[in-house]
Amino acid sequence: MLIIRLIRFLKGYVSFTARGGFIERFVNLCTKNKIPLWNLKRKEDYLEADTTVKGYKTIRESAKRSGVRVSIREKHGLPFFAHAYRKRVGILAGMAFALLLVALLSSMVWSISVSGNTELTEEQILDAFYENGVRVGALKSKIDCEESAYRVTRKLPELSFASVNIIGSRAEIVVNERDEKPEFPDESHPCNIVASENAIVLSVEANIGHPEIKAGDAVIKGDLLISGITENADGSSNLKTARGKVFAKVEKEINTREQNFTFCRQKSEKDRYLLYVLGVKLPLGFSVGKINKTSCSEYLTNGEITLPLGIIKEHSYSVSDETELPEEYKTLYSAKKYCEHYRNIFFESEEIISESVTENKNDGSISFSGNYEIKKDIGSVKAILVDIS
Amino acid sequence: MASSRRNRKTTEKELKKALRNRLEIPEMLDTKLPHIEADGNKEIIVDGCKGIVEYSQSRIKLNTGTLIVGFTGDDIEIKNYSDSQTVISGNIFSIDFESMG
Repeated sequence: MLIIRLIRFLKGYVSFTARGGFIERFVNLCTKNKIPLWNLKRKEDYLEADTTVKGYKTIRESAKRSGVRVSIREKHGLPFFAHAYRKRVGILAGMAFALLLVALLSSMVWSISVSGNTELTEEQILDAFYENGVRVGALKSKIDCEESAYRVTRKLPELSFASVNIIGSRAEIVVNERDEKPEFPDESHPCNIVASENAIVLSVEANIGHPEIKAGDAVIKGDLLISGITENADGSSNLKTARGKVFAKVEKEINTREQNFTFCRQKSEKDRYLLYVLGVKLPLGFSVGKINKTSCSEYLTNGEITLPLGIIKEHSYSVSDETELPEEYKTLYSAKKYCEHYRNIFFESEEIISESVTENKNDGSISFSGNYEIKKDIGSVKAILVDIS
Repeated sequence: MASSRRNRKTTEKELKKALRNRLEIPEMLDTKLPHIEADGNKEIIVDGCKGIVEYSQSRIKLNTGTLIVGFTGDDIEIKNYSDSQTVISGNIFSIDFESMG
């Protein structure tokens, strides 16, 4: 029904009234003469109806034959609208410009989404695609989806698959990261799994071999955790390559040492906002310089689609030359940094169960010691020596 | 001569009716009968309308060839009118049929 109304609007139509004579005969004659009629409303002494412009031009004959007088009530549709505004060139030019602008903007990519990445960041993927022509503001016709995806997979070896799908003005990048080849243990030599350090066992996952400890046991370095010697039902023994994981709670300590830091004071800071519209950054202030500059951006989004409209905030600060600070502060700061630094290095892959940093004051000097409880796999492989003779 | 032609027509009609009954073809497929679809008592679509017999604010009578179909109601109007399809809307109270004989 909507499409019919749209066609009627585009072609234009006339609402008219028919008075006197024989209304029924008039309607029948109109149908006979192929004059379309709709919205017929019978009032006390007249009829209201709609017809096409062409139909109204030929309605006179039917009206004359049925003794009906017809008169136009209203004119509707685009032809009448255009006729009324035919002298207003600005409106026409504006409409034409708007149409051209919509056509031009529709031929470009205005939003890019990335999905499927876990290790690689969205920025890394977007940068790689940017170099291959997939970027905000690029013409859709200039983007070779297959070629750019192939080039990106060559450039980023972490990716096993990449694809670009252009839907409307949105580019959807779907990637799949490569799984590392699993390591297959050497099963040709029998071995045990022993403790690599002193710990309290939290859980034992013995895949091959017989577990010699259970959760809650305390072990010292070198203790047998999973034995590679298994006993059969008939009392005989088998030698196997023990495999499994023994997670245990291990205590670690990091003590501070002297660090040479240069302490500076912040002198000034500047902020500037930029308006991001369709890939163009419009500055709303003076430049903040390039030293110690950071920026963050916020785009208009509904969670799924990000529009090419947003605000970018640039921030920069300058620092003074070396500043003298009391020795106590220097030691505190450097000790804290030392702890944080080595904590990240030592326990990068381990789970920290608890941590406590204590401050020690001895003869006016301050030191820090960080005590950590971490969860880690303490199993290490130890070969079983077999005397064949 | 004329009576024999009439007889032939009657026989043809009877044959067609018998065949339709045998094959269980619905009456709806008989193209001579009008096809009427009602959407509650608010809108009625009549296929195969030959002309308007009566049109007032409370009553519309349509000629469908074999039948004259009358609609009585309140503020009823013809939404669309053509020889293939006629759409009547409003508060329709009753529909009546008159045979054209």
